[in-house]
Amino acid sequence: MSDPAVNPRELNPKEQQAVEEIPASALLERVQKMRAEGWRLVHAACTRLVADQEVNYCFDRDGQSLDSPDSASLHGMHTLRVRLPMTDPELPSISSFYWPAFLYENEMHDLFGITVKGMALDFHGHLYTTMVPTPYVTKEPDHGD
Amino acid sequence: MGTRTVIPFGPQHPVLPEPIHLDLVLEDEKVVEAVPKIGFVHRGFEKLVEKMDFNELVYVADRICGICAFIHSMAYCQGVEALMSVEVPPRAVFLRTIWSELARLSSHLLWLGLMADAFGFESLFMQSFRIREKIVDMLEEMTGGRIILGVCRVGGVRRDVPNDALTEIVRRVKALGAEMRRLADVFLQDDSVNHRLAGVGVLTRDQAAELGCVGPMMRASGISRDTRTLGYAAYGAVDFAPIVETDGDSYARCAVRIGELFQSIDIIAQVASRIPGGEVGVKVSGYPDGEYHSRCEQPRGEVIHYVKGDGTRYLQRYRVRTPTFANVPALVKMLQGCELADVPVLVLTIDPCISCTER
Amino acid sequence: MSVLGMSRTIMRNLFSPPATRLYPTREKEPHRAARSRGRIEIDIEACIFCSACAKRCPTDAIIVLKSDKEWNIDRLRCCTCNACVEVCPKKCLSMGNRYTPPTVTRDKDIFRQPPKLTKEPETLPGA
Repeated sequence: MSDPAVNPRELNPKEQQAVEEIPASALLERVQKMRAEGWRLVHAACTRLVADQEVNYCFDRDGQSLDSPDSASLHGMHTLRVRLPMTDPELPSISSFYWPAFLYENEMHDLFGITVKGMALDFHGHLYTTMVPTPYVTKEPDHGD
Repeated sequence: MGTRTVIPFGPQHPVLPEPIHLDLVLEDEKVVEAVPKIGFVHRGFEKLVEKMDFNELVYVADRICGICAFIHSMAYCQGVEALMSVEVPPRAVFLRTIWSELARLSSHLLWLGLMADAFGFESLFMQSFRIREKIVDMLEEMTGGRIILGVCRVGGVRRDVPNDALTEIVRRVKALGAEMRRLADVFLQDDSVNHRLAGVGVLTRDQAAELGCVGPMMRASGISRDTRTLGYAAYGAVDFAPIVETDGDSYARCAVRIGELFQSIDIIAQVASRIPGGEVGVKVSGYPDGEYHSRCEQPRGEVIHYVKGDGTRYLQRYRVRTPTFANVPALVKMLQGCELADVPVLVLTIDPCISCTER
Repeated sequence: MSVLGMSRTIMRNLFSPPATRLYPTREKEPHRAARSRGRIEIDIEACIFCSACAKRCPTDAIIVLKSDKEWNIDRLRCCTCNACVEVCPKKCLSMGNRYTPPTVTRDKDIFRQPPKLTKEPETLPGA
């Protein structure tokens, strides 16, 4: 039953994932370029750090274009990172290039309080109806109940 | 021009496994527009990084979903192990693969049952669940839990399964394969089922790529992409190819998921025959530092666990992007122009796992 | 395309016993799998009240009071993750395979270690 030739380093390979930092003003132009090159949007998320916050847009491409029959070789992901200040963060919407991005942008608005201008489908803050508005902004005190 | 009515669908509806609300704008019997609303099971999982350290987050990851739980915890553990450069023993990796595939079998059988319930074929729903019960019993014998297995940890797995028990499991799964074949024949060849599924919710290849679909939604429209081909866990040591159909309607998606059932049985047999001996976990010391996107193929599609650590016990950010989150825009687009009676079929064809979506 | 594809299954099911069980009147035989996660059991005599289990519990279900020699667990908070069983240095905790019976109140299960008296003949040293 056992296979002595299994090399532990070949299992669980670590992907190569690149991060590129861009200013918020260059976001739309860069996303348009990614769209033209055939990247697909994987996800978008916000992380609150100590002094500022960053929004990551992650893209993935199959190595070859979609028209190629053999998509078995997959490259790692490419992330575009935009740094935003803690107060009054604002971003343009990328849903003109990637329509499904409206869901990620509404979530960022509801949970982190980031204003995104020009979303394709705007829920006006009602995607997640929580008791506390923008709940991920404040750090909860550790109550032990 | 007919009169327009707005009908609320959900959050409580007999065919929905989890609550989602849709406001359907109808003109006579055709749906003109659908506005989704989610947020009924938002539990704020990602905020728990402030309270729980990176070892305890495995328990949280296990409980994000009530159908596909194990693969979430595996994806999280893979992410943290990549950050800390932990070398997981091969036996643990192979065991994780077997449990992932068993979880995939139970999830697809659950979906088949719910789909049959959606178009009214109750006895087919019960037969699917009867087969699924045997799979879930096997998981309970191996790990102690039926859905929430609780066996993954950073550095390996917490329980071992002896080799003769694995052989027995493989034999039982293969015996179930014959029953699944009978079930699959009803789904794929019965006239009444065909009437409800064929031609409903068609997504062309370009539309599927544009809408960002993942998983069987995408593979049923002709795009051959499966995250398992990346070779995470033990999939690099297994021969398989993604199952692709080209029609892009609900029947094609059903065929893809049924094909994946038999593919999973084959993968389990291959992995169990090649599993090495040895220990099943290593001790992990230190704290995670850096960031990584860990990707796995859940039954519904590609799931991403993003972990970011800063060298302390508590992670800085833990983000889960589940496959249903990526398929919801496709649902919104597919509902435009369909009949009212097809709405349950369409909602179920994306295999919605709303509790995953909202975390 | 067939129309009566299920008829063979239906005929077979008509003449065989039901696939379901009238729980809780009849329980699963043989009883649940040996490894099933039921509920945490403790051998209170062996416990040294080190609180390792309480520190490890992710849901804070276990409370250990060393001064009163009391170990209590909130059954409704326990998620049967097995972390306490793995970390106990005296191995006095174990995972039983029967479920906690349903309850309507949020009571804790309290275990107190009886004080060790010196009248027990087996434990007298040097006897």
